Amino acid sequence: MAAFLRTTLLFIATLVCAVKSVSQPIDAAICKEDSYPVVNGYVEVLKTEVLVQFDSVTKPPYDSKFIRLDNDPIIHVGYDEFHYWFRFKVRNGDSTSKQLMLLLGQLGMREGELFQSSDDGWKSLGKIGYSYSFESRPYAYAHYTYPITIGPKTTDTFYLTTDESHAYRVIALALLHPKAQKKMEARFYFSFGLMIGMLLLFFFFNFYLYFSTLDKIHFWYSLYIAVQVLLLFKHENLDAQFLGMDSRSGYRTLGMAGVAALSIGMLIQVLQLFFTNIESKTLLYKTTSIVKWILFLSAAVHFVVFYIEIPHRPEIILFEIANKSTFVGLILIVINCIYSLYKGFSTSWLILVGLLIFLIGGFERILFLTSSSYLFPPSLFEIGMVIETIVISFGLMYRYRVYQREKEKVTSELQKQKVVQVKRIISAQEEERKRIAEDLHDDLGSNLAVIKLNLQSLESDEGQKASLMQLLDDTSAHVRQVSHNLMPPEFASTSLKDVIAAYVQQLNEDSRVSFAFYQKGGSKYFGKDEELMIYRIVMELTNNILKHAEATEATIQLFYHDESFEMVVEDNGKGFSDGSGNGIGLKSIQSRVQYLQGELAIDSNKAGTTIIVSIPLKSRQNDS
Amino acid sequence: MTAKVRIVIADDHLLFIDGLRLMLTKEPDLEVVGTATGGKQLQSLLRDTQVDVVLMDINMPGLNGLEVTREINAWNPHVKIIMLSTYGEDYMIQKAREYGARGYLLKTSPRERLVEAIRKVAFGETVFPSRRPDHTASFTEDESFVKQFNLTRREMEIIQHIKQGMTTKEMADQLNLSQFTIKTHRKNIASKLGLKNFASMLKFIIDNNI
Repeated sequence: MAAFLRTTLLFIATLVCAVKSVSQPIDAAICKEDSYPVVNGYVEVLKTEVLVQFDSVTKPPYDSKFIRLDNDPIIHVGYDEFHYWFRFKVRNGDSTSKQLMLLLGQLGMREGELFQSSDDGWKSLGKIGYSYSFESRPYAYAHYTYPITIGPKTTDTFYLTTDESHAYRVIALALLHPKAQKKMEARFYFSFGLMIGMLLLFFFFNFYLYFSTLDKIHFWYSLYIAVQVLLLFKHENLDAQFLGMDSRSGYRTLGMAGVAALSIGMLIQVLQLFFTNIESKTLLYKTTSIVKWILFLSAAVHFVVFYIEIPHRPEIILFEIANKSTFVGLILIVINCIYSLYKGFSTSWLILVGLLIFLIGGFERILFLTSSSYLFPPSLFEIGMVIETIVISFGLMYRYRVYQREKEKVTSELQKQKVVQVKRIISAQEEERKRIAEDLHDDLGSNLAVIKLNLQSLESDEGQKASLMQLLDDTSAHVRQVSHNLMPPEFASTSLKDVIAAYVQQLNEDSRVSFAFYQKGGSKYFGKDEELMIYRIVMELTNNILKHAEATEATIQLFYHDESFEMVVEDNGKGFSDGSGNGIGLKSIQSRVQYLQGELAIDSNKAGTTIIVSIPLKSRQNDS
Repeated sequence: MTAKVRIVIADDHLLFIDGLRLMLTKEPDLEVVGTATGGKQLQSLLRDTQVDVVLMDINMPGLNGLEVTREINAWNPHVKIIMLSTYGEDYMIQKAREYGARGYLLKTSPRERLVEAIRKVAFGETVFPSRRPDHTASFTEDESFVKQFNLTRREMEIIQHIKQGMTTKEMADQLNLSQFTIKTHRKNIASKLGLKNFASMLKFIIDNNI
């Protein structure tokens, strides 16, 4: 891009030097293969309130009323109601005839005609302007161009009329060697192909981002890029050549000033979404919004009036409104950028940098400060536009990434808090259970043992004693069971496998369901509190099987793989397709799984239920 | 007449100690020479007195009967310790064995068994409850192979399907299970068979004609 810019700047420098200041006829010798002379300084102009026909313009009194144009690279008139005739002479000092290209620039021209003096009087070199199709132009190039031929040792006079009513008038003429013309054309089509290609790429990219994120900033931005593409097409008359807009209605659909206003309005819309740190109640935000809506409104109005060609004066006013509000919009964008930066939104730097070249180009374009690139695009404004689009696209991607990261952070923070909360609740629950288990065991259990001891020593009826003993034994067993379920004895110093094996043993003695237990590998990852959770999950799953499943067989398997711990509990019961799966039991299992930061998968059908608890182990290794 | 078996009872429950002592007084060959309600008291008692058998509660407040057993065993292996516990879990009994106890009895055991156990232990035998029949490894009964690798019925089913060349998805459809479940089973089967990947599993299945 830097090389591209440098070439452009060099190019502009060459042509400024090539302009000759004062001389009546243009010497064809100045049109070399590698020079791009602008010839405004050689041109005389006749400005009249009524249209003067060609027959009259070559004769008095008009022929003496021509005055010299300034020798600027571009003569900017804007909107006015006058009619213009241009006159210039070209001298060929060579002994061979010479072909040259007269380049007129690209802006709106309803109708134009060039006349050349010749031996048999005057001849027309053909008509140009948007009233005529692209094919009928004297020379097939996006900008109006006349090929002219000057005979050997001859000086020819040229008269050019342009009807630019209801059009923004910009005057610039260049006379080029055909090879220079070819070079310039090649550069022109290449650079605009490239620029439009890049814009389209980012257009689709933002559209894609919009559909994948549903963040409306991307939608607005892709619209903005679409308008930029339109602006490029219109600005360089490429729409006439490539989009079939080479007709009056084609030209008058969507006036340039309106498109520019629309484009800046959309950029404001995008940036308002971008600068999230500028609150909507601030004066700046409100002002920016007002300007944005003025821009949209003025664009809409401009489109209508430009199409229907209302009288000059109101048209000029509306044009000025569109133009000035575009200008104000640009200034506001810069202010917003700086304010957002000042408020600490550092990504705004990117926008400011992206906008910089575009803004300079934009101001230049509106003010026509230095406008040689008008005849030889791409202009700074156009290059800046593309750079800005690309940089802001990166800005949007960066912003998206930042948002995504923040969102992830918040989600994981929430998740962590949730786990902490669940852990706290479960820990409290476990504390309580442990206390009750100890109370039960120490007091009730021991007392029962004492009662039994004493009962044995009692001298009484043996039958009565035996039944009392039986009752006592049953009660002791029950207390032991309850106490065990509340908290297995010596849990802290016993392996999980042993505890579960004992538990499953007990289940098999007490229940009709046949439980099988298998463990592969051993835990070095889980703390005792986590093992207790796993044990609780086993208890609750087996309780569910006993209570609801109507199963005859069940398996409990624990696998310590390299990467994960898997608990697989299967039964051959009726499944819980009837909705009993939402019971309290599963909820409690769910929260215990959450405590372990694992996943719970339930696979239930009429022939049984498979429950899989998987807990990643790798992350644990890293944690500890 | 042989010397009486000298017994110490360690339990935090005074009522239990009293009951036990009362019961043992009826045995002429047994003599309770001391009681302790905590580990320290027991240790000093053992240092001062000649003791044959300690009846030790497994669970005393702030004190673990198993730990005390290990300590005593370390400096005075002649003292024979019988654990008295309300717990009957296999792993508790196993622990008592590992920590050096000579016997393990439930507190609710009948008097005769307790007395007999004390006598046996005093004469150098060990008295532990017989292991309960193992109910935990009853995956499938028939084939020795299946038993060797502890495969479940479901896992066998999946192995059969793998042999038939079914994909995870096909198996999931056929068995009315989720693909995740099938995948988990496959992973677990590989782990049980000690195989690393699917190809080696397939080879293993075919080689062993499962």
